[in-house]
Order: sequence, then structure tokens, then C-alpha cells
Amino acid sequence: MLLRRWLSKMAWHFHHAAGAEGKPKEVATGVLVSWLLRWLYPMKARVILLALIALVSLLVNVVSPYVSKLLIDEGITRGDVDAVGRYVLILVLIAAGGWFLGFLRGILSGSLNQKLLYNMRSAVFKHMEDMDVAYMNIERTGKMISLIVNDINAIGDVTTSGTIEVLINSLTLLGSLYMMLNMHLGLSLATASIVPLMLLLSSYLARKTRQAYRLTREKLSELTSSVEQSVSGSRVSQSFVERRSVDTVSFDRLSSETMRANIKARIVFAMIQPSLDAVRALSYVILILYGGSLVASGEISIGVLIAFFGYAEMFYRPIITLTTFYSTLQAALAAAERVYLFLQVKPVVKESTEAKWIEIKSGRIELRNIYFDYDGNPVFQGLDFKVEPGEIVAIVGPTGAGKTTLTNLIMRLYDPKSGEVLIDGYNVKEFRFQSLRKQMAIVPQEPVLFNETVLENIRLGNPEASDEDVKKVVSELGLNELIESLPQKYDTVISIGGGNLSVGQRQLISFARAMLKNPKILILDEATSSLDSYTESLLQKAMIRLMKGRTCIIVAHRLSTVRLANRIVFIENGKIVEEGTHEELLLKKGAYAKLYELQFGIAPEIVSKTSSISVN
Amino acid sequence: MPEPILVGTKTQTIKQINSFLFAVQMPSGSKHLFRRIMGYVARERKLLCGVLILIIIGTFLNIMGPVIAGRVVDIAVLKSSSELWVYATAIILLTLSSGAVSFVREYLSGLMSQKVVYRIRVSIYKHLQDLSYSFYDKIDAGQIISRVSRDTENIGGMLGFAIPNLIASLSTLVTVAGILLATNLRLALIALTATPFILLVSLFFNRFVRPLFEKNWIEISGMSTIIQEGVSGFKVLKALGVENEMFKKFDRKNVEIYNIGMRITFLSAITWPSLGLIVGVGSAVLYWYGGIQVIAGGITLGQLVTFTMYLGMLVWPIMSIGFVLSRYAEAMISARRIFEVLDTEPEVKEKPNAIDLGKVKGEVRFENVTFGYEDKTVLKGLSFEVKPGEKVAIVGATGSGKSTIVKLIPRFYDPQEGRILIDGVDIRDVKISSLRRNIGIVHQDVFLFPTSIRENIAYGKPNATLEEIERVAKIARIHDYIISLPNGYDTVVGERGVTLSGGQRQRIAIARALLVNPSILILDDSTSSVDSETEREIYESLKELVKDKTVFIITQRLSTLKLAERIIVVENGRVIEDGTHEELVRKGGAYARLYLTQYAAQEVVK
Ligand SMILES: Nc1ncnc2c1ncn2[C@@H]1O[C@H](COP(=O)(O)OP(=O)(O)O)[C@@H](O)[C@H]1O
Ligand SMILES: Nc1ncnc2c1ncn2[C@@H]1O[C@H](COP(=O)(O)OP(=O)(O)O)[C@@H](O)[C@H]1O
Ligand SMILES: [Mg+2]
Ligand SMILES: [Mg+2]
Repeated sequence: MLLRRWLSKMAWHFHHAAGAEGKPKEVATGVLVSWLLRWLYPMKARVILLALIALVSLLVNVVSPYVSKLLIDEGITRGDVDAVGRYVLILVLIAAGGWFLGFLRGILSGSLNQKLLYNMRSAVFKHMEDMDVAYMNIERTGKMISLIVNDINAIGDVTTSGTIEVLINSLTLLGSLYMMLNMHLGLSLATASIVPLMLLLSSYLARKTRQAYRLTREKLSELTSSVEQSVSGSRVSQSFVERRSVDTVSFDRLSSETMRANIKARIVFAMIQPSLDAVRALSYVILILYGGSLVASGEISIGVLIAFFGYAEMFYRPIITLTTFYSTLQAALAAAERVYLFLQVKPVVKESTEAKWIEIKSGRIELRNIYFDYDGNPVFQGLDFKVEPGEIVAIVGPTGAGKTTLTNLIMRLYDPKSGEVLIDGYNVKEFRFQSLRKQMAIVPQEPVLFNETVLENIRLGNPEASDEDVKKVVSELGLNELIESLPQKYDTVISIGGGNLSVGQRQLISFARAMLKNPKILILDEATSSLDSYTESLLQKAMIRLMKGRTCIIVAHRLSTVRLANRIVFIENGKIVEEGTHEELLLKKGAYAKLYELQFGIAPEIVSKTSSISVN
Repeated sequence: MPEPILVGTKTQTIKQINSFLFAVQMPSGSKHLFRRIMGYVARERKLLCGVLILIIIGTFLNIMGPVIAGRVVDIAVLKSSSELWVYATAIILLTLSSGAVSFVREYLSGLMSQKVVYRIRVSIYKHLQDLSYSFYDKIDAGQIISRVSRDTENIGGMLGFAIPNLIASLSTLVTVAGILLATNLRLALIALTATPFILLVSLFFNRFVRPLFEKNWIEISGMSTIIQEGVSGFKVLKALGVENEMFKKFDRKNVEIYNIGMRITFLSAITWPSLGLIVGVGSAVLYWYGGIQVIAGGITLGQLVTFTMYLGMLVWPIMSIGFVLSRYAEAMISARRIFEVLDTEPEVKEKPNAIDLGKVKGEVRFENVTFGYEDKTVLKGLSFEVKPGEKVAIVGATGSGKSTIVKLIPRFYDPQEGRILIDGVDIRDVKISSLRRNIGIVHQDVFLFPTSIRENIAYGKPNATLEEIERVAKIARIHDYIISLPNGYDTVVGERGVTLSGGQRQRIAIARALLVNPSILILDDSTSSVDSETEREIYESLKELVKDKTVFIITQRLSTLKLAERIIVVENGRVIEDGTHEELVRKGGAYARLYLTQYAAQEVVK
């Protein structure tokens, strides 16, 4: 019950905060708040306990100036040493109680906060993993990092400690008002009379602060992304010397803008303390003049006046805290909005609820009447394509023809706009993702290695594989020599981006990784394009053995790579223009024959002279 | 979700309690670091002086408050209200003047610190541009970014907040203590007994929390790296079906950060209430002793009030000494990280008397070049010579060092032995920029910036006209594709160019290199994803453009090799064969074997 009321109060508070700002938002504040509260719901017991503790500590806080008043009026003024001792003891007890309650409160709200942060980070990362390739292609790395690292932190603080803070502050406000009213009505009203001024001032300052703060953050993030670009593209920028001065000038401009924004913010910050102090001084003046005359006329005791000083402090501070809290709250809501919106994005390529684990038995692949485009840029317009079980098909064609896109569709990294992709006669949408992708393997055009050892990088193909399994695949592929040539063999740590290996070596590692999956269907997307022909031929010899019983698709430009195929498919502009065996296509004298001529046409006599020389 | 683990709790705390207290750990050599930072501050010494003077003035204004309050109480006790307005005016004046002082102080210290931050940032950035490939091989982008943004901010925080604060605290502390002791020795001693405890608590907090913050930061940057890999390797992870593995890695960091957060929570939960306790008990004792004194007539009630207010005034400065020390320590860690970068000597350095190379003819000579990466020798006494305008192909097994050779020409790395000459001049004797201006290189792993295609092509010549850009795009055979896009040259490509096909990316990179019109052009496997026909077209149109330029081509494709006038075969870090295509085929050596592999492949099919 209490929780409910507190929650609705919070909702009001949040709503009010956003409403006051009048900032147009994509997501209604109410939606955001109820979304945030859902995160707290599983921890409701702790939230309730926390609220209770907050209440009790509040009572303790509010009582203590009153005790000081009693101490002065009934102890010191009357010269009663025993009373002084008694009230001092009470004050000590209050301090001890305050300590204990404060400790509990800190632990509870802190752990609540940590748990919330943990859960949110987990959820966002998991959601990111659930997204599809199309979405992640447009997502900037920097944004994802800042979502998980910065935004969630901003939300966490406000949702847990912030709400408690608000609760306590509002109650302190009411409590001290009550205590003051109990002591003297006129003086209370006088004390409260500057509240409007205080509210105006602190909300003005809060708004200014937030604006200034936002500007500095914006500038800093521009600065950051400029550094990010020049660091990650450092190899390119060093190759183009003319760039240097341009980059330096623009960085200089950015950092001086950052400086100016910060100085501006500093001016606003510098105003806060003095102006709030000024208002407070005004209240002291009121207390001194009015309260002093009341004491002089004997209407109140000196203890009451001193207690009023204490309560005035308790009365104003929450107001300041609450108003400045708005600005934090705004930042938190903006962060919450970003996280919320990201979590709302649903991948287009989704696992259906009826998806099953389907064993791929034969490995037949069929694409039927496929239409596909990237954001309206059409790639396939009615493509039909078939691979029989155990067949090895080569796909050849100009860049941008859609070869990689075709393999993406088979792995279901994208869904076609219409038409269907069938594996063993089942639509790929009927497969669980894991079942589809674990039984197929692709060696991508650009090898991606992770910042781990070579061994771990290969093992990524099958996380359950033992070290021996990895080594077995490596030697089956004839890659022992490669591993031996690395400084720490299997334990060589690959640097971020794979920079400490040559591009060909990266392709070989990525090849081993795919073979470790022991896939039923194997797709090679220009997987050996950076290998020299000799290394490639060694690899191919191993492949001839390894491809038995698997369905294979090989995308390649080099005809020596295409040689393994039983059938060659020539794609151009998303259409199959030719199809057949090597000989058939040569006889046809079409696109493929032209390609052949381009690659081998010049020295046919050498071919005949040396064709007897064996590959090794 | 594992159960919260509270590591390093009480027992450990108690054990260490004696060893740490007054030894706030500073990073080693922090004096030296501080001096270097002060080197940057020195230029703002006028601002610094202004700040110091204002701090002292502010302190004096601050200590007046409680005196006035005490007087007011005493007057009130005497039940005379006549003089009250004097004090009321005094309070107003006091507040206004101390407000003005604090405003100006804050502004000046902000100005000073921000100027310093600005200069440090620019000097890091300039230095980053000087650093060689070997530096970037080791470091990841996130680390550099945090140095430029967070670490410089830490230093700004130290200069703009922490140090002024420390000075203000110390001066408040000394003055208040002085006043208290002068007014009433015994009462002062009682009031001051609280201070060591406050200091103790804040040092305690500091000692344990600071390393946690540092650890937290390390874990968070580890987490950022995982996110980065998760994004850039997204497609591969999906295709492998191992998103879980990445999540496990992420979760390990997440749990670690959670645990650190819990420890910080515990420490904060103990510290803050403890301060409240000390102040609460301290003022209770003060009331007790002071109350008795008032009753005995030793002091007035007003004096007692002044004393308790001073006690309150002492809390924050003493507390803040702890914070300032921690900010200082943190800033020193940041300073170390910054100077680590600034002190990294670029491995490739320009001689002080380096000459301008001017426009070269394009003769390139390698003399006995030996080169290795940190833990691996790649080239072992390699020599060859290329005449101006020659078109040379470099051939060799995967990992034999082809890319390495061409990276030595623009001096991205320096050889350990031997030398490289261009037009007869040792490249170590010339200005690096004048050397690189002559060279256009297309790297094997193409990197595009997440900007428009136009900006990407114009990267090396930012003021290029659209005609120039289109001309090179046409030569690289990418123009037609670009104009087929809805936004044409203004199409923004994804990070690293992910929204383009591999061959399209390569062709944009070729156009980018051509635009700067280099005398020496290096194409490192730059058409591996381009189909043979387009490739031939590119070379056809290049022919005219590179007629009198020296060109290095690394390629695996025979059709391209045959275009080269000369072929250099590399094996085991040396040149083992050198000649024209026909010569080498006839020779029947390594090249013939390599070359024939591609033919033999065809034969298998036949
Ligand atoms: N993620 C993407 N977003 C937008 N367009 C894309 C994306 N990936 C590829 N394209 C475009 O689709 C076409 C086909 O690309 P792709 O299948 O990679 O060709 P390739 O046959 O060279 O492998 C190209 O024109 C390419 O620019
Ligand atoms: N930045 C680097 N750090 C350490 N080792 C490297 C680095 N770059 C290349 N290597 C190693 O040097 C050797 C030669 O690489 P490279 O010149 O890229 O070969 P390739 O002939 O295939 O172009 C490889 O064995 C590779 O592992
Ligand atoms: Mg492709
Ligand atoms: Mg290479």
C-alpha cells in the first residue's frame, strides 16, 4: 500500500518535473516512469524497507533541534546541570541512532542501485545481441558504449538514491514546518515567507546549470568522437600528410569550444552558492529582527530562537535539493529515454516462437523467388537458386552483384522481402537461430578476430571444443606451420582488430574457426582472397577431403579457387546470368568464358607446356 | 545473477587499519608529475595569484558569521532588541561580499584550469599525430579517448576545484582553530577533539575507496572494449551463433563492476553516517561542557552558540582534505597516463636537420633491410632497386612480409638495419611529411570513415573540387555505382564502411589514394575483392595516370601480375627472384611454381 502511494507520488513528481520543462519528448514521461518502476518492482521488499528507514531517520532528524531547544531552555537557562546532562545524553543517543539508520539506508539504497545497474546493463547488452545485422550496421559503436556505460549510470542514481532523497527531503520539509508551527506561528510564517523567492531562484539556477552542463557534454562528445576517428583511422591519416593541418585545426577549434562551454558552465556553478547564501542570509535577517524582538518581548524563549535557526536550515535545504534535483532528473529521463527507445527496437529478423531445433540431414539449399533490398536499394528481384546435397557450387560475379547478400540470406542474417529460403525443405524461419547457425559455417569476406589468443579465436567456432579438437582441425587444414610461425604459437594474443597478423593469416584463422563447427553446410565468401596461390592450393587439397559430405558454396574471383566446384553460377546485378560446369560455361563463350580469358588468356602455350608440373 | 559478494569487509579492514591511515597512497613519482602539470599552470600564474588572494579574503569573511550569530543570541538573552538591526545589516553585507568573492574565485579558478586542460588536450592530439604505427599496433582507441577526455578533465578538476579547495580548507582550519583557542582554551580543545576523528574517517574512506574507483574504471574500460568488439564483430558472432560467448564475457565484467559497486556502497554507507555521528556527539559534548560553563557564568550562551557553529564549520574543510587528497591522487594517475602518451617517443623520428624531399622521380632502393616487429623478424637483409616509373609487383607467401615491405617506404616503421633510398636519398634524412606527400598507399585492410563518400575520397585533399573527386572515382571504376545511390556522393557509409560491398570499399580507397597525385603509388592487394573484369578496367584507366609514376602492386591474381613490368619474389625475408613475368616463368623457380598453381588448378577441372 505504502509502496503504491509512494510510487504514484514519484510518478507525479517525475511528471511534474518534465512538464515544468515543457521539453518535447518522443516518449511520454509517464511511460518512462512506469517503465523505470517496473525495474524496481522485483526489488519491492527492499524499496519498502528503505522507505520505512527513511521515515524513521526523518523523525530522528526533525527531533534533534527540538532537543537542543529543551537543553537550552530547561537546562542552561535554568541552571539545571542534571537536565543538561539528560538532554546531552539524548542528543548522543540520537546521533547513534542516526548513525545506525544512515548506515542501513546507505547499504540498502546502494545495493538496490547496484542491482538495478547490473540488471539494466545485462538487459541492454542482451538486447543488443538479439538485434539483427541490419540494425547494428547503422549503430555507432560509441553510442552503444555510452548507452551501457553512461546512460544507465545516470538512470540508476536517480531511480534509487534519487527517489529516496526526494522522499526524505519532502518529508523533512513538512516535518520541520510542523515543528516550527508548534513553536510559534508568526515566526514560522516569517521563515516560510522567503520560500517563493527561493523556489524561483533555485529552479532558475537548476535550469541554467542543466543547459550549461548539456552544452559541455555535447562538446565533449564531439571532441571524443573526433579523437576516436583519428585514432581508429590513424593508419590512413598518417598516409595523407595534407590531412594533418586540417585535423589539427579542427581539433583545436573543438577543444577551444569545449573550453568555452566549460567556462560558461563554471560561471553558472559559481553563481549557485552565493545566490542561495544570499537568500538564506535574508532568512537569518528575518529571524534575527523578528525573532530577536520576540525574545526581547518575552514572547518566545531564546531556545526557541536557536531551534528556529536549526529548523530554518532543515526547511530550506530540501527546497534547494528538490529543485536542483529536477535537473538531474531531466538528465536521467533523457538517458532513460535513450535506453528505453533502444530496448523498444525490435529486430526484423526474429526467431519465431514455433522455431524448432531441426537437424540438417542432407544439406539441400533452395532460394525461391527472392526479392531483397537494403533500404530501398534493390539487390534481388526474383532470384531462384538451388544447391543439391553434397554439391559444391561456386558463385562468381562482379562486386556489388549480391554474392555476399546471398550468403547472408542463407544464414538468415537478413530476411528477404518476399520469397523463401529453404534448407532441407524447411524454411529457415522454422529453425531456431542456434540450430541453423551451428550447423552451417561461413568464412566471411573480412575476417574478424577478437582480442584473445589464437586458440580462443578458433574455439569461438565451437565453444565446447577442447584444445585437442582445435589443434586437430588446424593440422587437418595444414595450418600448423602458420601457428608455429607466431611468436607464442596458440597463445599469441591477437591485438584489437587483428593488426599483428597479416590479412592472409587472419583469413586462415577464420577458416579454421569455421571448420571447427564441423558444419553440414559450408560457405566461403572470398575466404581465400588474400592468400597467395600456393598457400591456397595447399588449403584446397585439405578442403577436397574436408568437403566430402557437406554442401558447399564458394564465392570467389580467382578461378583457381573456383576449381573445386561441381557447378558454377555467374551472378550479375542480382540475377543469375549463367550456370553450369566449367566446360559448359567455357563453350558457351559468355561472361564466364570472358573471365577465364581475362585471367588465363595471355599465355595458353605456357599452360600446355607446364600442365604436367604437379601442384606441389 | 550471483549473490552480492562483499569482498574486503570488516576483518580485512581492521587488519589494515593501522598501516594505511596517514599514508594516502600516491602514484609513484607524483611530485615529478605535479611539477610537470605546474609547468602548464605557470603560464596562468596571474590567475593563480588572484585565486589565492580571494581564498584568503573569503576565509576571513566566512569566520565572521558565527561571531555575529553569537552576538545576536547574547543580545536576545539580554532581551534588548535595539542593536539587532546593526547585526542584520552586517549579515547582509557579509553575505554579499563573501558571495562576490566566491563567485570571482570560482570563475578565475575555472578559467585557469580550463585553459590548462585545453593546452594539454591540444598537445596530446598533436603528439598522437606524430606517433608511429608501432604505437597504434599496441593501443586501443578507447584508451586514447579516455586520456584525452577523462584524464584531462581529472586534471582540470584538480586544478580548478581540488587545489583551491584544499587551500581554502587549510586556511579556514587554521583561522578557526586559532580563534577558538584564543577565545576559550578548554572549550576550544573540546571542540577540536572532533577534528582528528573526522580526518581519520575521511582518510579511511579515501584509502579504501580510491583504489576501488580506479579498479572500477579499469573494469568499465574493459567492458567498453567488449561492447566495441560486440558491435564490430556483430555479424561474425551472429553467423557463428556464439552471441552467448560474448554475453558471458560481458557478464563477467558486469559482475565484477557490481561487486566493486557493492564495496563502494559499503564504505560510503559506513563513512557518511560516521561523520554525522562524530559531529553529533561532538556538539553534544560541547553543549554539555559549555552548558555547565554557561551555568557557572564562565561564558555566555552566545559564545557557546558560536563555538558549536564553528564546530560545524570545521567538518567540511577537514572532510574535504580527504577528498582533495583523493582527487589529487586520481589526477596524478591521470597525469601519469597522459604523460605516458606524451613521453612516448615516436619510433619513427625526424632528424633535426631533415631536408625537404621535394617532388621525387620515384627511384626506390632497399639496401640490406632487416626489419622485425617486436617479437618477430620479418625481413632479413632484403635488397632491391626500382627505377623511376617502373611498375613492380611483390609476390610471396601469406605472411612473408609483402605488406611490411611497402609500409617501410613511407616510413611507417623504420628498419632495424640497412637503409631505404628514394631518388638516392636515405628516407631517414628527409622531412617525414615531404616523404609521405610523394607516396599514395592503399592499405590491405581498407578503412573508411563513417562520413560521406565524398569526404572519404577527399580525405587526403580536403579542398578538392567535385570534378577532381569524380575524375579519380571514374578511374577507380566506382563513379557509376556512387551516382546510382539516391544520395550520390553524399551517401554516408556505415562505420568502417560496412554498408558497402568489399570491392566497393576497396575502390573508394583507391580513388582516395589517387586524388593526392603521388609519385609513388602502392596498391597492397587493393583489388582482391574486385572482379577480374572491373580490375582490368581499373588498371587500363590507371595506365595513363601512372605512366611516369613508380607503382608497387601486391596481388595474388595472375591477371594482375602480368600487368607488372617486373616481379619481385619474397621468401624468408629476402628477395629470392627478380625479373619479368616471362623470365621468371621460364626460370621454373618459386614464381613459376606459384604461377602455375593457378594454372594447374584449371587443369584439375579439365
Ligand atoms: N549493409 C548494407 N546496407 C546497404 N547496402 C548494402 C549493404 N551491404 C551491401 N549493400 C549493397 O548491396 C549491393 C550488394 O552487395 P554485396 O552482396 O556485398 O555484393 P558482393 O557481390 O560484392 O558480395 C552492393 O551494391 C552494396 O553496396
Ligand atoms: N603489426 C604487427 N605486429 C606484429 N607482427 C606483425 C604485424 N604486422 C605483421 N606482422 C607479422 O609479420 C609477418 C608479415 O606480415 P605481412 O607483411 O602483413 O605479410 P604479407 O606478406 O601477407 O602481407 C606476419 O607473420 C605477421 O604475423
Ligand atoms: Mg561480397
Ligand atoms: Mg599483406
